[in-house]
Amino acid sequence: MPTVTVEGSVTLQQAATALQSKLGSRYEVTTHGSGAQEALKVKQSAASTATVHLDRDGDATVFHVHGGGLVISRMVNEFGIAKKVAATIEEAFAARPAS
Amino acid sequence: MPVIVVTRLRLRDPALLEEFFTDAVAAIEQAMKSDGNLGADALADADNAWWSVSAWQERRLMQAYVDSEPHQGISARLDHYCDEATFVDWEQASPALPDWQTSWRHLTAAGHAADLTHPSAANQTRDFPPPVQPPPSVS
Repeated sequence: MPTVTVEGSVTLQQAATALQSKLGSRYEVTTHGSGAQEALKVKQSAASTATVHLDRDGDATVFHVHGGGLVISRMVNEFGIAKKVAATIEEAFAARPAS
Repeated sequence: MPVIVVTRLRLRDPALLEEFFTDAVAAIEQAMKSDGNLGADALADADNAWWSVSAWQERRLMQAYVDSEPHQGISARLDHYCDEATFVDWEQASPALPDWQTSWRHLTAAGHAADLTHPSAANQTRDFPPPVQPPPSVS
């Protein structure tokens, strides 16, 4: 699961807007839930999805990016769309190196 | 009574990910097709840790899977891949897979560590953080 750490406080909506802008119209970025349950879903196709949720770590925002889907397809998405989403977050927010 | 098996494996080097991933998918697919399997799942955790959980009708059938290929060969490569490799199993009335936080509690309470060439300090103490998983709102 790619993790990206960004200096400062980033809201879910800011992240959604940045991702949609950088990923373009081939991807659909939607927000879900609220409070501690809030997360983003990034969808390229029915089988290619990723979820992003945010944690606060002091003055930093930590993005956790999971592949979506069931079992094997989820594992595959960890390598595909989840990595792309994490790289896009890094680029958008000038993140620390991903772990 | 159903048997639940949980594994937590942490890669000692992120560069091993592609190689490990191929084996991990093969092992999960094999489990899901094996006699007696009641379900299996995997979770990519933070810090290069990977979890798996599987449920089995009975211990004998789970052991048959463990002792057959490709799982047996993959197990022999854990020392190459991991600095943390921990396993736990238990019996429960329900055949349903436990959630990841329940799996973590069992593993940290009663897990068995593999004997590794390059273990981390946590490999023996099982001082592992709870798995990071997406909120249910998007699962």
